[in-house]
Amino acid sequence: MKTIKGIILLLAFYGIGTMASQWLHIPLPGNLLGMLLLTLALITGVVKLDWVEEASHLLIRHMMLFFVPILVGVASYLQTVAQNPLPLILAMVLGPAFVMIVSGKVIQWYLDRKREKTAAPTPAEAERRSLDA
Amino acid sequence: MLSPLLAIIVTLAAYKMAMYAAARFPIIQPVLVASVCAWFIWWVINGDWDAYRLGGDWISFWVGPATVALAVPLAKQIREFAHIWRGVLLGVGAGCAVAILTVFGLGLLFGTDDVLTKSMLTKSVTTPIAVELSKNIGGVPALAAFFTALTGIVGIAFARPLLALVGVKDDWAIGIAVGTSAHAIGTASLNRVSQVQTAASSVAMIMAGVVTAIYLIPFSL
Repeated sequence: MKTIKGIILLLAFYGIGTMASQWLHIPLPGNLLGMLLLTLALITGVVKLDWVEEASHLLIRHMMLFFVPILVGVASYLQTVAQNPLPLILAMVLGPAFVMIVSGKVIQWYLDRKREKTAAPTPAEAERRSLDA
Repeated sequence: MLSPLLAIIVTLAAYKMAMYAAARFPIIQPVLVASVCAWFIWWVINGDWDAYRLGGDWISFWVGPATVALAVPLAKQIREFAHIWRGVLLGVGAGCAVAILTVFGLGLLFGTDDVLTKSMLTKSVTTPIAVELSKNIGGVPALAAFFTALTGIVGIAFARPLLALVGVKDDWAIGIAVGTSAHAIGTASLNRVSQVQTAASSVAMIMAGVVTAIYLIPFSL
């Protein structure tokens, strides 16, 4: 029963996000706005974590499944693109690799610097980390 | 009439097979294997891609609510995020700049077609944003969706070894790196590993969308 309740809430926030994006002309898609609104609702306690937790785990666990039809549909473009493949292949491989290294390195550097300043994490933080791991 | 139903069954079966394979051989990327399997099975038994899309839409609809569901890991990690948001913004900002610059650099180097280049500029951003953005800057939305999907798959294929190689080891750093480069597909792939990484990746995905949109403003004028 809890899962159904959660699904209803997730769909409702998706709907609210989509409407907000269209009516207020916010340049973010409805699903991302819905995610931001639900995060806000969870932080402020308007929506209890318990209401949506089960449904969220279910959907996030199988999120990759939802992308499969999109990827299959997009495969038909392979032929269009195959005429001049080298720059495209390079862009597809080098692009994500560079982006990953740069953004990852910057944050790793930031975290390391921060850690030097504050020395050891607080007990609460350490406990949370061990729970997550 | 029956073929949309068949498309759903084929997709679910391909996903199930890919999950089995991935459980046995962890090196396998389930999204990639599932997509190739579903594509191949459909090509053999039917081959009508419009009919496939009718069924597939039933499944891909859930990308929307699943994205909303990322609010749960995000809300759980919000205090940690509030602590380090400056670094996150810096990392995402740098990553998005690199994404655009590599496309331009390769475009100049190879003299790639202008429309193709423009369709690639948005490839590190989550699909719904990429489609909108590429419309604004004169790319082809369907091509943009194609490049975006491909980027996501390529990104998750080497994310782990590459990040380990360059010494990116914190959960937040890994999540941000994957979310900035491989958007929602990357985020989905992290869920098997860690809640913190999933949350970090969701944050990065949103930020990357906004930051890239801002970077590309000169092209939409």
